[in-house]
Amino acid sequence: MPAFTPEAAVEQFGDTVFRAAFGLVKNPQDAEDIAQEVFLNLVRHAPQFDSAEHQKAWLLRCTINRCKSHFRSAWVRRSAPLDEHLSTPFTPAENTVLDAVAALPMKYRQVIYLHYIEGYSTAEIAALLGLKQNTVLSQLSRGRALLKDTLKGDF
Amino acid sequence: MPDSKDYKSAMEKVAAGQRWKQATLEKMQAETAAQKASRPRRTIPFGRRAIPLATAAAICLLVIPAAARSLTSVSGGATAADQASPRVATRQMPESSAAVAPEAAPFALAAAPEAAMAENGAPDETAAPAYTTVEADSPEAALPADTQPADEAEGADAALEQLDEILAAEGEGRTRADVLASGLAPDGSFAFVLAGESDGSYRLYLVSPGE
Repeated sequence: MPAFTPEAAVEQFGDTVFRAAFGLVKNPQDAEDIAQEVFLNLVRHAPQFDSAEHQKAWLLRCTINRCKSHFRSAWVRRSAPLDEHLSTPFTPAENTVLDAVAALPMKYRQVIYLHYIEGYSTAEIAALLGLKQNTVLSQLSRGRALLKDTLKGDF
Repeated sequence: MPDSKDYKSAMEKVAAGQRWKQATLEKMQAETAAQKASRPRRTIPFGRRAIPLATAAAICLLVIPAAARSLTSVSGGATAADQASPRVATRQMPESSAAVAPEAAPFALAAAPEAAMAENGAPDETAAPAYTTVEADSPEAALPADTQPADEAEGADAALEQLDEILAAEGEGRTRADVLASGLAPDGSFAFVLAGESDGSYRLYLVSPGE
């Protein structure tokens, strides 16, 4: 069985965790803090993994939980989100779609992210989030409908 | 019109910087060193995990009293099997039912299925969760009724320690930093609310550090 050391996890899944955090909070500074805390939790709890995919799923679930806590904290409730992106320039179309996804309720945003960016099936998302597959299907459908409505196009 | 392709191309541009990776690795090494320096805790094997002994004891202390309370509060304690057995039926004394605090009922109800399974000898392959799922408008509303602020209460630190151990045993990466609301419940236990599986759903942990 391969060794899933925390240091190797940062190399292998650092971008994945940071991207997930950014995709959910749309703020690079907060995403860095959340991603760092996720990897520190990996050191603290030292869970055992069967495979790299299992480790990735644990890290993504941990990231989503952190993002939910982040949005419910008193600081975020009292502060307007920063409208700033990474140094990488996004096109206007990319900015529009990122804003539209960021405006979705968290329950829709997380399934949209996991489906479109991580490429998980609804069954895999259901297992990862601890939800029923029908719930994921309906959340994905409603999230898509909201995005179509906002973007006045297809999604 | 922007679509899912723009979403994918935007997210492909997002990557963690080398400076962040370096800082994260340094913090992880510091955390590892701090863990090695601290006294190793006694653990018991549980599946693929090793659960701290104190955590296992805390879970037992939380689950068993809740199950015991549910036996007396849900149905008066009399199952069909109980009624057929005079020896068991003598347990269902009126004063023991009356002694149950009314506010204990919701939590006792939550633990009832596990208690019933134990009573009937059915296999219980999964441990009962150490929390109750509550649907509420806010984390504060998810606390039990009449919960008081617990900042200065005696045992608050010990309750937080126990909560950390319970959360560690769950293995979902949560810590006391994820607590959204807390307080001292009327029955003397410390109540902690964490985010649930969806919006409007919360996990309520009741911890009694004195038990």
